[in-house]
Amino acid sequence: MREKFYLTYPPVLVKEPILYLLTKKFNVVTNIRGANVSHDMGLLALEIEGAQEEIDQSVSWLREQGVTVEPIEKNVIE
Amino acid sequence: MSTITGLTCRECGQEYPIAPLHVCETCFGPLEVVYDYDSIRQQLTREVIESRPRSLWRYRELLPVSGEPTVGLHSGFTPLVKADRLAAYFGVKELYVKDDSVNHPTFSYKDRVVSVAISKAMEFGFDTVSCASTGNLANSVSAHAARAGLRCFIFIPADLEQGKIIGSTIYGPRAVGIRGNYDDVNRLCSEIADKYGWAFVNINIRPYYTEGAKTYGFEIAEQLGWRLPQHVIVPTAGGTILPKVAKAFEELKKVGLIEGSVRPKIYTAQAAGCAPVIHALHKGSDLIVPVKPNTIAKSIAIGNPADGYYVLRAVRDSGGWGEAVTDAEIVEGIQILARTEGIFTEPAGGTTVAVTKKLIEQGRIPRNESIVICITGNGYKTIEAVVNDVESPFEINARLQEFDELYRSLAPTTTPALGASELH
Repeated sequence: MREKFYLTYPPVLVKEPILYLLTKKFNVVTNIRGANVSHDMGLLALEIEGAQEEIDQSVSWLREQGVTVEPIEKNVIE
Repeated sequence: MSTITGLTCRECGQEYPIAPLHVCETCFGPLEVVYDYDSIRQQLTREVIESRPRSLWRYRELLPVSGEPTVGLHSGFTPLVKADRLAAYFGVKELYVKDDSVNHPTFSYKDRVVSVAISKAMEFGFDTVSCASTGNLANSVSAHAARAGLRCFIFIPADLEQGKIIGSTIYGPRAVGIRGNYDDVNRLCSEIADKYGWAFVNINIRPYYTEGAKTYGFEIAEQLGWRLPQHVIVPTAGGTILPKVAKAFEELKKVGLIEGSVRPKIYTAQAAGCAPVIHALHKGSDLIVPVKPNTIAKSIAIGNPADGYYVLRAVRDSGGWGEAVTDAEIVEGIQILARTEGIFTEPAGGTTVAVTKKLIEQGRIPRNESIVICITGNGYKTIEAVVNDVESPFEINARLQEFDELYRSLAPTTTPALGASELH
């Protein structure tokens, strides 16, 4: 499975190697397609590839760390 | 003859064919429709437009459909009200209200984008249309799908009040409540759009859907006698309408329907309880930090707007600005519009009115220039927002004497509309 996400990092996590830790912890392949990082926020367009369960656990873990994880479409509830 | 030539990525410029695609495979940027403006310039004149029925389809060459429109034949071409009493209240010279609270058939600007999205979905051969929504979008998709004879699935948060979905379920869609937070609902809908191959109007049909919002801008210009206003105030939720109003104004110049050098300044309006775009605008940042919404303005409570960045860019390019207002100011905005112009709008409209007031008071909008306020939804759908802020009926027995006494006790302190003393 491949899923596309937008990750938003709060200031406190901008300097943390979140993706490195993610790939050590879960059996997924990450592929950064776009990024915009400043001192107060990080924004990442990311593809995550792996088994559905691994992707789901990756998303849950990222959220536990304080990263906002959304589909690439962001808010689709209008 | 179709006037669109393909899709292009708004970020990296990669080109794509006309298809139900919405995200660039390379950089994940959003896709945008590309038009053949030279061809449009040859075909589309003011006379051609004015000879057509009064609907959004009178600008069909500037919309991403091929052939005759099939859906939303009565949508759009809503009134542009010259709002003299509201102008007097604000102390400004020339003010208009573009009133999509009376858009057909579901009373919000969404009837524009959905008309175009479902027309395009039918061209692509989809038999099922869908969306995730807590209100106006679901109403519109359900109604248009019914009229077009398409299957329809509506996704809503499971805890949404029943009353909120009747405006959709009356049209006969399958409504699915999803347990989980908004992030979960968003992700599931993206997955469903991907897996089931349905026309999810604001996901895989999004490049076409958003183009429908341009008709709001086209109509403003035509209804002003083919000229542009100097200031336009637009509410921002997902960020669809504001950049498209800006695009509409540019396109009208590009194809020769508008002359002159007026460049409207465009202002974004948000509720203080959900103002991610305003925060970025005021900070001078390009990055929109998602927020958890907390406002009565539910229809614009989108914490991480899909097109927020493009709102910022359009506002800055135009030389405009933006403001956020509190829920109390929003309710006041609803009341001011109702009591000066007889237009009952939802909290999104109250937000726009209140932000306009604030921008005028700040001196950002000059009092002697032309102003258009964009009203995008109807207040009859959100009665609960104002239920505690309107006067309750007086109760008397059916005797003239009792009414005489009541009337004497009321006058002159209570008036049903804003009194002369409150008007500048």
